[in-house]
Amino acid sequence: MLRRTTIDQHQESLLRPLLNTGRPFLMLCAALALIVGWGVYAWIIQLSQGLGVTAMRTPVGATWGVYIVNFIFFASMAHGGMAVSAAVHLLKAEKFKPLARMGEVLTIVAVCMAGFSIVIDMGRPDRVFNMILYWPGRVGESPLTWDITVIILYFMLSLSFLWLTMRRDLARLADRFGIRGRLYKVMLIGYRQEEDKKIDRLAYWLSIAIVFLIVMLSGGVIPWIFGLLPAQAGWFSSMAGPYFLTAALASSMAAVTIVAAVLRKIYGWQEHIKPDLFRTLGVIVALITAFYIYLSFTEQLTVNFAGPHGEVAVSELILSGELSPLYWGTMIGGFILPTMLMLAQAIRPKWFSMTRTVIAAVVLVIAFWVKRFLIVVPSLLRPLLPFPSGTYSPTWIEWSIVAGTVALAVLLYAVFIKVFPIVEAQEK
Amino acid sequence: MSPISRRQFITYLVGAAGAVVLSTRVAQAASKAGDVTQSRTDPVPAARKKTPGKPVVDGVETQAVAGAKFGMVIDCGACIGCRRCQYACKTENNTPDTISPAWIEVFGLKNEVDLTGHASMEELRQGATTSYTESPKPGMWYLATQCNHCDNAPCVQVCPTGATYKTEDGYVLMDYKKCVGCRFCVVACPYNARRFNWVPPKLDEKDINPQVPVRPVGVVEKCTFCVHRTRDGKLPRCVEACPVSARHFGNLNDPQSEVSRLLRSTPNFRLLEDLNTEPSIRYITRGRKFTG
Amino acid sequence: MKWLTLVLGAALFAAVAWLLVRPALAAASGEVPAAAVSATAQPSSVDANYAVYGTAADYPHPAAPDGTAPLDCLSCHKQTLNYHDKLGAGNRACYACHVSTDWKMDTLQLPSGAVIPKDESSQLCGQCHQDRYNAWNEGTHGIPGTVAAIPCIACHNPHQPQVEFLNITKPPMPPVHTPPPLPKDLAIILGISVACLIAGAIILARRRENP
Repeated sequence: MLRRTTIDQHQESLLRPLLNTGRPFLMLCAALALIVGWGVYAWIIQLSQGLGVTAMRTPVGATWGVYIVNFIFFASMAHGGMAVSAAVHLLKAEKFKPLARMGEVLTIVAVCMAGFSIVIDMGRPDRVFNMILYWPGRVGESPLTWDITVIILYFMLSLSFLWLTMRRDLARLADRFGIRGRLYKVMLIGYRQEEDKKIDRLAYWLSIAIVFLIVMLSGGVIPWIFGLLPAQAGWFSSMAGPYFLTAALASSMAAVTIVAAVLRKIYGWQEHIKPDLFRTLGVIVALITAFYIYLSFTEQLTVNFAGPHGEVAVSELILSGELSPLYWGTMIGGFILPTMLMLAQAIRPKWFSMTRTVIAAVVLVIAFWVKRFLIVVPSLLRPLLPFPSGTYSPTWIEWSIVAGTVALAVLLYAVFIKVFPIVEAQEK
Repeated sequence: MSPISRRQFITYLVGAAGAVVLSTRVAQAASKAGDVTQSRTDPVPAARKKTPGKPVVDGVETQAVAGAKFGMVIDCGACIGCRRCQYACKTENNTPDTISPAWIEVFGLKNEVDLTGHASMEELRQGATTSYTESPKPGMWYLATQCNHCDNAPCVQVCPTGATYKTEDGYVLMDYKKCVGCRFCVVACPYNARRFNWVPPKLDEKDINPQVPVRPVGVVEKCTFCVHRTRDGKLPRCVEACPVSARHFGNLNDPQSEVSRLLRSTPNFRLLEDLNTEPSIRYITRGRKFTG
Repeated sequence: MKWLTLVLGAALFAAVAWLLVRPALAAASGEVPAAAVSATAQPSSVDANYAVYGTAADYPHPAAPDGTAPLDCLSCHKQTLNYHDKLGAGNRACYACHVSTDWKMDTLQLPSGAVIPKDESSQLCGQCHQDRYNAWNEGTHGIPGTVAAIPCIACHNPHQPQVEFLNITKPPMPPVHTPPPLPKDLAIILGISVACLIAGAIILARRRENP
């Protein structure tokens, strides 16, 4: 039995994406599809010629490159949305409700892209199921197996969360749309109006599990791929966990800010998503990023004070070597300036501007991608044994595939907006 | 549509989970049965599954030598940096030119550095390698490195599929069929001893040694201590090829073996000892004179 | 205030983007660090000297009255010995291996006095370096696969055996594969079409907002 109540006019505007699809949207999708196609073309070249088409090399050079950076980037992007949803359900922060589903979809898409990035990086993607097949024997020892476990768990829980919380909206809309309505009815299997309260309780407990998994994923298994290996100077650090977790929370909240601002602008949701929301998000992002800057500083101080050879060699590379323009540019232009801007906006409310906040968030997201590059690659270029120093200049294939995954993420998000309601409609 | 009850839902869920676990186990068992290389200690005769003259792609395992622990001793004092070991290894093990360099890497280090197995800051900054056409150079000593077949190998710990494993007789070997090419072992090895097939290997038919598998693209490979020779009592190729007898190989568990006697008689060190990898290659510095 | 925002934001964005694009531009030209390839050295051998200076037949040698007096090698042949100078002072070092009356240098002499042809020089080396000689005979010394096929002097200069081992090193292996070049025409087409589509989308959207 489906819900028969109607939504009022005020809420009707929330359905704008589902009701109208204009040419700008189709042109944007076409552009994204072209980029994705180009990425696929590059990937086909890589599949036929082997990973040698990238600039990764052993033993001199980077064994892991932009694909792993991309993986970390997307996996950590997958938290902000769920963190916002968790805040809504656990802390009863109702004002974030419009952003909840936007964030959840961002999570799902980001985890998919993270998994995709890993498959692209593998030398034998045809054997990807070996990692599942031999899971029982390896889960006791291998950080990569833990990673697979946690990512799959997180994905399943997030997907369930999204589906379950979406059902009440779908129930309202199922009769209004044709093909989409049929899809909604499939997803509404077993729906009864009484389940809404139960779903709320379920969401409460799922949020707790998801928050725990956020810490275990971005502050756990992913940093442990790097932090548990003394083989690479600069990676082996007990601080890897908190470092990655902070970066994940900051970059993902910035991403949620961007997505919310863009959707608000395009669909004219100024009444539903107030600027106050962005002020709060801005403060949160600024504070987390400030903490991240402090962690970066601590890390560099520890390495450079009386550090062993290997660590000093890696540190030299990023502080004064060939990667130093990238490092300093990212730290100053990418982290410190946007953080100061957002903190200033927080202290003086009348300096607040949506545009500035969004631009700062965009800069932060890009800077976090670059920072992860600076974590993964320099250590690999300075091995512990006296190999010649390596260099790593990603090839066009790698950049194309990275661009393809980003475009695919945006494309999937755009498709979702057109198929399902992206903002929860309130009941009168 | 009638709603399902909570009990039914949980039943379905448990059933599905059980099915997944069961199918994983069944698939694993089936894979084990059909793949000879899965078993590490089954006595598989070397002649089986191999046509003379044709390269073996799947690899055939030999039986572990009971009670043995194989290790190598490299004499840095005698090594002249000629890289004959590197080239002999390459030829013996069907290593294509695209694995550059081969499984063995020989560094030329300045004499002023202490022989402790640690490179100096200078060498780390610039990388230590000599002109290959002029060896030995005065004022330099040569450090030949390869996979150390560590007892506490980090590569074995981190492999997500168990493709690399430690045997009872001291080898760390690879099962090329299981490797998915994630390269986690490559970054976990502190000695940078592992190599990855970035491109499909190109080898002439006549250059292929039928006793050693030809590795496909996308898998990791490394020194095997010539397991196909040494389990039969022969020496690894690099030990044979050294013109100044700077390399020694044998059973460390046997107190009368050459390596055991060498290690008892002269101070020795291992590379990156403090990383707790317990490598099986020890270095001595007896000097340039060959005393037999 | 709005303009200031835009200018500041654009400048910041441009700076960060430039830092990112720079390595990509370098990568797009398909450059990948290639392994250093040093030139292969010319193998030198004792015969190279003959090529330069000529053989014994080209020089008049003072003939001994009865052909039994030892020749004064060092009066013409300036030969620096390393390690093998221990074999004797002056000409005596030469006589340790060369037959003192054989000015053609076709023969060598063993410590017992026996004369052997020049081609069997390894036997002479083995007289002192017995362990090495045995190892070479067994195949565990020297270039693998060429047991007893090449003599000691193919690698060791008999006059300076320790300092330079001739022909023993090989040149470095060929550099590894380079990645495929960027198909520039396709990339330009892609770039232009994507740019047009996005620009068109933005323009149409704005027009819809402000008709």
